[in-house]
Amino acid sequence: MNFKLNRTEMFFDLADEQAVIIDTMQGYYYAVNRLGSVLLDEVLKGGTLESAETVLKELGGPADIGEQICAFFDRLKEYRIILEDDGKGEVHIPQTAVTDGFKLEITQFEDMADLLTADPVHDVDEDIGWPEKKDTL
Amino acid sequence: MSAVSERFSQCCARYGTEPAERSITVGGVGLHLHFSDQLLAETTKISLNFPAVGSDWDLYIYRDQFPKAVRNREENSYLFHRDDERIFGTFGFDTVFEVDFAAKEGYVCFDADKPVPFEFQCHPLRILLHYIMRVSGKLLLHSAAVGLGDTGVMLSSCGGRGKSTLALSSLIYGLDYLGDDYIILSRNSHRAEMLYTSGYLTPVSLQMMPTLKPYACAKDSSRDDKTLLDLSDFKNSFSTGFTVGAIVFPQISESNQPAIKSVSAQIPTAHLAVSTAAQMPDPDKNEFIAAVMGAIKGIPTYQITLTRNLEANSAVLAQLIKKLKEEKNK
Repeated sequence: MNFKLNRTEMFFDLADEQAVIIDTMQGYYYAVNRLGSVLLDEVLKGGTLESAETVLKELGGPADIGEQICAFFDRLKEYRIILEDDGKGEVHIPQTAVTDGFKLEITQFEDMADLLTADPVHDVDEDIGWPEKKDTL
Repeated sequence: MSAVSERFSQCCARYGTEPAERSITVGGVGLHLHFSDQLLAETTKISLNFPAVGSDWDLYIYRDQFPKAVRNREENSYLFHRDDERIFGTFGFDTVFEVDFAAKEGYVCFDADKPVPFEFQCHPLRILLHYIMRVSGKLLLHSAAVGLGDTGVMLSSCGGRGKSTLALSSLIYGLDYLGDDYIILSRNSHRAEMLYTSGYLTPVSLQMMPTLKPYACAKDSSRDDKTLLDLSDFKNSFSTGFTVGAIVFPQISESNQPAIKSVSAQIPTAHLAVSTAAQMPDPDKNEFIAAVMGAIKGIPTYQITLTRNLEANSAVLAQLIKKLKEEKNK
C-alpha cells in the first residue's frame, strides 16, 4: 500500500528529518516525530508500507511495527493529509531516524484554525455586476 | 490617462477635493501615491515614512460610493475577481482594491460615508503591497523583525504572543528595528526589509514601556485601544535590511529568566505561514502558504521564553543575534 500527498489541501516539507505539515484550507498544523517524518517522506516518494515494515524490522523494530505503521497512516488519512496511491517503491530509513525509538507520532494543532476560516474568500463572477468591468470604470 | 486615474480625477471633482501626491520606495519598489485629499495623504506619513528612489507603480487612494454588493454583505468575507491582468477584491467592509499588474497601477477605495479605517493609518496599502511584492520577487509576511547591522531575526507567531512587545522593547534597548507586525522578505535570499515605520501596541504593553508613551499618536477603538506609535524619532535605529539568521517563536511565561533554545521548525513556521495567509486575503491560500514556506526554508528556528523583564528579554535576543553574526562571519 502507498500514499500521495493531498496537494490541494496540504503543504508538506521535510527539513532536518522533521516534517512540516500545514492544512492550508483549515489552518491546522501538525507535529510529527522524527521517525514518522522520515517514513512519511519516504512513502510520499513512492515507498510502500510493506517495504517500510521490512526496513524497520531490519533496524530492530518491534514485532508489531507493521500494525503501528498502519495505525499511523490511518491517522494521516483521517486528517486528510494523504490519499491512497499506487507507488511500489522501496523505503529507505537511515539509522539516525530511529535513535529515539520506533514510535510513530503525530499531533494536530487547531489553535490557528479560526484564522483561515473566519473570513472566507469568495471568487465572484465579474458578469454579475461587481466589480465593475474595466471598460466601464 | 488610464481608466483608474480618470475615475480618480472624476471622484476628486465630484467631491470637490484637492488631490495630493507622495512618492516613496518600499521593498525596493518605487510607488507614486495619488490621494484624493490631503487628509488621506497625511494619514500615510507615519507608517510609510520612506524616501523615494524612482517610481514603478502608480497607486490611487480615494473615497467614493461603494457598490451595493460590497456594502450589503452580511459576513466579513472577502470578494475577489481576477483575470490574467488584474485582481479586484474587498478588504473588510470598508475597502475595495484593484491591482492591474500589466499597467503597474492600483487603487484603494474607501466608503465615502464612513471614516477612513484605522487599519489604513497603521498598515496603509497592505493588501496592494502584498500583491505588488509578490510580483517583485518578495513576500509581505506577518512577522516582527529586529537585528544588529547585517544580521537579524524574525519574531514570528500569530497575534497575542508578544512579538510586537519584544520588537519594540528591543528597539528601546539598542537593537535595530525592522518592524513589529509586518515585514518584507525576499523569496530567494532570506533578506528582510522594512515595510512600516510605525509601531502598534496594546495598552498593556505600552504601560510596560513608558519610554514609548510620548510617541502614541492614535488609538484603535475597534481593537481594544491598540495604539499607533510614531517612531520617526527612532529612525537612526531603523534597519535598512538584513539577512534573517533565525525565526524566533515567542512564548510568554511567568518565569523570571528569559531563555532561548533551538526548536523544530514545525510549529514556528506553521504559525508564520498560517497567520500570514490569514492576514493577506488571497484566493489561493495553498499556493501562498507554499510560497511563504519556500521563502523561509533553511532558516533555523528558535523559541524564546519571555518574562516581564523587557530589558532581559531583549538582551537574550541580542545574544542570539550576535551568535548568528559570528557564525555567518566564520
